[in-house]
Amino acid sequence: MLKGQAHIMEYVLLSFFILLVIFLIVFFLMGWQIGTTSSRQSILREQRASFLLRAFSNSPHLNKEGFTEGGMLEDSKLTVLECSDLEELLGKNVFAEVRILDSISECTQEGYPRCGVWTFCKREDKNFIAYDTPVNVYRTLTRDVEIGILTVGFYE
Amino acid sequence: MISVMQIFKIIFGIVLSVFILMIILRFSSSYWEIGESGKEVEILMGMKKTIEDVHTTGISMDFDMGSEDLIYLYSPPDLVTSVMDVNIDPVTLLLVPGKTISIHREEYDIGWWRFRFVYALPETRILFAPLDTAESRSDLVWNSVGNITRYLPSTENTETKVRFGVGCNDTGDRQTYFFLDWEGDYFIRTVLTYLLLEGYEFVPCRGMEGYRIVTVSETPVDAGFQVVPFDSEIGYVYVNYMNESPGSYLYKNPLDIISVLLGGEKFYDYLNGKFLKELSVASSLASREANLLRTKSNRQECDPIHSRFVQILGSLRNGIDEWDYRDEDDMRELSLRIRQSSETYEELEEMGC
Repeated sequence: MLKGQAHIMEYVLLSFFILLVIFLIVFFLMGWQIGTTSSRQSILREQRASFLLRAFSNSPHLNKEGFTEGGMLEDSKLTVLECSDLEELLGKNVFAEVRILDSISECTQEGYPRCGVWTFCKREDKNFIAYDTPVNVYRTLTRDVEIGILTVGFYE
Repeated sequence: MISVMQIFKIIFGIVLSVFILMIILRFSSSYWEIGESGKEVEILMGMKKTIEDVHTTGISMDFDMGSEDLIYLYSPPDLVTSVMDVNIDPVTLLLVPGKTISIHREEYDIGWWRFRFVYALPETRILFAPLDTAESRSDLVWNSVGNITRYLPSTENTETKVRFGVGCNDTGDRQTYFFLDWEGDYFIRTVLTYLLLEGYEFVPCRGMEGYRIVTVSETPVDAGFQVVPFDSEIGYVYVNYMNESPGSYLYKNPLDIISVLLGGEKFYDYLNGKFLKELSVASSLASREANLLRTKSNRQECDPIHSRFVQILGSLRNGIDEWDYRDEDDMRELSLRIRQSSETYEELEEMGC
């Protein structure tokens, strides 16, 4: 009787271990899939930020006519651009900043053209993804070209 | 004689094996589905990235979808697939699903602003049927053919082609097609010019597998897809396919015609919505910019032109909010304002303002 019970226990233990191994494999594979999905999400976010940067720097709304590729942002267009315009063109929760090198004064219509920083839709939120790139900025009134840094991203 | 223990072993073995087998089968089938979906997601992500790259760089590219059925339908701005819906905003996209598609960026230039949009098309053949006579050539008809071709993508740098032809000529029971399969640029430059000068005459084409037939004439005729120009800008597109309810669409530029040709009413509404929304933002920006430059510039001679430009853009922007893109009078007004704004912008450019 006891021998029979011991045999049954052996079988139960054996099947328990087999199932354990199977479930471990299942969990490992599911975990790997979840990891792949979350890395895909992260790639998508980076892809969006990269697209926003290129879309802003090439936008026909903000570039000087005749400089179609590579971008030549026009300071007069940047000065009149508002956050609502940017949201209409690129979507919600997007922000952008153009900063002429060594410039600190924020551009407003009153201060124009003696200024070199334009910011759109920026807020204190630290949770964002953004990229930056050097851009040409055309000074419409003086007809000079200056180098600026364009930062475009979105809040998550 | 089989003992009780042996019977137990057999039953236990069978139950356990079936249980394990079911778990493995169920999991492996789910895992296979997840793997397949993952592949499809990768393809869709790649396609979205390619469309965005083409939109920002203007460099045309081919894209292999792997399967013709990956995209169920394109309901702008969403690509509807079995695994996920892909939103393509803010890019304006005219897509026709296919196994391999070629992606191109085009622009509709109105001088002070360019409306940018992207085509994603499989192998496409467009056959024009311009209906006029050799004795009285219709410039309206032939210019419409040229304009439609001009705003469709030039596919010289991609493997997947959009080709053009002209037809048809009925000789008894047989239908003859002329000049099939030309690339867009060559078609406009050489084929259309040749046909116009040589005095060919055409009749409406019957349906032909694999071709989109575009009949162009000054008066409506019985055709599946017909363009009837009223003047150089405005006209109507009549759609009357056998398996669809007939429709008529006002057009104010070749993009409207192309949108109906590629995606019917859905594309027509989508493209007009995007165009007018972006035009509204562009006119608002350009108006504010002209105002700024007027107040900051020392050049007094630019003042009146800047003011006029601001005024025209203001009326254009106000009109966009009120006008209906299916109303002929409204769209004539829109075209007039756009033309006036372009002319005034040219003046500003010429004077170096």
